[in-house]
Amino acid sequence: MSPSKPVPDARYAPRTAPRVRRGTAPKLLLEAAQQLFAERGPYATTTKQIAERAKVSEDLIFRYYGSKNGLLKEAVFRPLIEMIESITPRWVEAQKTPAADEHERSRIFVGMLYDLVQGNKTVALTMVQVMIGGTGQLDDVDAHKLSSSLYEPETPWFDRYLTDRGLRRSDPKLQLRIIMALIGSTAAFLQGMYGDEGEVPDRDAVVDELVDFIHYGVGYPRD
Amino acid sequence: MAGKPRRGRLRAGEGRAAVLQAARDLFAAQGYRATTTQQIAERADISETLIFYHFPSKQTLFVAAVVDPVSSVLSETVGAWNEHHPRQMSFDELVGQWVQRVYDRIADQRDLLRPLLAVAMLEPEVLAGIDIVGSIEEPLRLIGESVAAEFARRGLRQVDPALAIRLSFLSVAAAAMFLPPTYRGSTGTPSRAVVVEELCEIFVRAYRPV
Repeated sequence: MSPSKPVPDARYAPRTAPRVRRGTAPKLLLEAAQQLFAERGPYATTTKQIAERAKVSEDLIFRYYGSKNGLLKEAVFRPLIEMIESITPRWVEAQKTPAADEHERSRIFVGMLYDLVQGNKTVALTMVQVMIGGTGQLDDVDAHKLSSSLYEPETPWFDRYLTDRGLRRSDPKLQLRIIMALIGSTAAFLQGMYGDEGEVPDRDAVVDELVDFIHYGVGYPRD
Repeated sequence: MAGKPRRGRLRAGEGRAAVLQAARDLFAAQGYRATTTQQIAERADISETLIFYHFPSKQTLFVAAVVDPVSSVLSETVGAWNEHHPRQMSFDELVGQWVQRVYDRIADQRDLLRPLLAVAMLEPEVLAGIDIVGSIEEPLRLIGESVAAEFARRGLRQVDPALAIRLSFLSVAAAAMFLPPTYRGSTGTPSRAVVVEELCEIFVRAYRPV
């Protein structure tokens, strides 16, 4: 899957927006889409609003991405999937080095995922918008296929991780989804659950407790 | 919204219910600010004047449609939990009760939670402007205290109880809220029983006394 390439404009269709340099329109559209999807949610955002914010012609959205759904895929899902995939090699690398303790090793993965959500709230918020659904202006099946593809790159190594260590392996796909949903929602919502008076533990304390919870949860023996 | 018959006179309460549902749909889809009372009136198929007859402002309507239902679900959960005599249960039963209760509540109420979640994420400042402490934070605090007390009494793994209760709530709520959609369009969706069982397995191991 390579990013959809702009189709060469052979016929010079009349421009309805200010001229932009060749090649910059997709970038402007992706940025505008990310902002608007996060601000208003993908359902309430229209292609017209995206085009206006990007200051390019609305036609280009359909030419480059086919539909609002296609743009959502490129602006939100692809970056998210790529970010999650980028964690995998670092995880595999960490597994090779003899680590003093497993906790330290798992902190790498949990911490990376946690930081990823915290550092990309706009993308994460849009993702949640898609997951909790709406009035159905979007192609739900397509959107949900994409959200299930978030977990796919991670399943094989997670399965191997459980097997190699003789941990509890009931349904790796389900176990991984529960763990990733927990890490993601903790990064997104934990702060909001503390109200005004309670002080939120710092990032490292939260990651440490997540690691313990997950380790023991999959049957890692207690010290 | 198929086959909308022309409305004659509304029976008592009918208009109000239609307004609440339309408000929830629109707040969930587009957040608080982008939603107007006029849009809600159109969707509910009643006049805007009638909305203001029932609800003096958009904010009052938001509280009635979005905040109040969530708050009563939470209060019921607290009540049911306390009635269940957690002190007499084994640890595994306790975990099972807690997981099932939270999971089923959230799964049943996805539609009620959707607008609140959308506004909490898109426009947290809107919620800050509304007094939700009494209706939402208070029940959450009560559940937390009650469960933390049980954990403490049983001498479970040394944890920060405030953090542990929030993480356990989040893990069940996230599973109930976000798991089903990730399976749509693919095969092998686990049943509610399988998901609840897996959550219980994780919990029992994560918190069982050493």
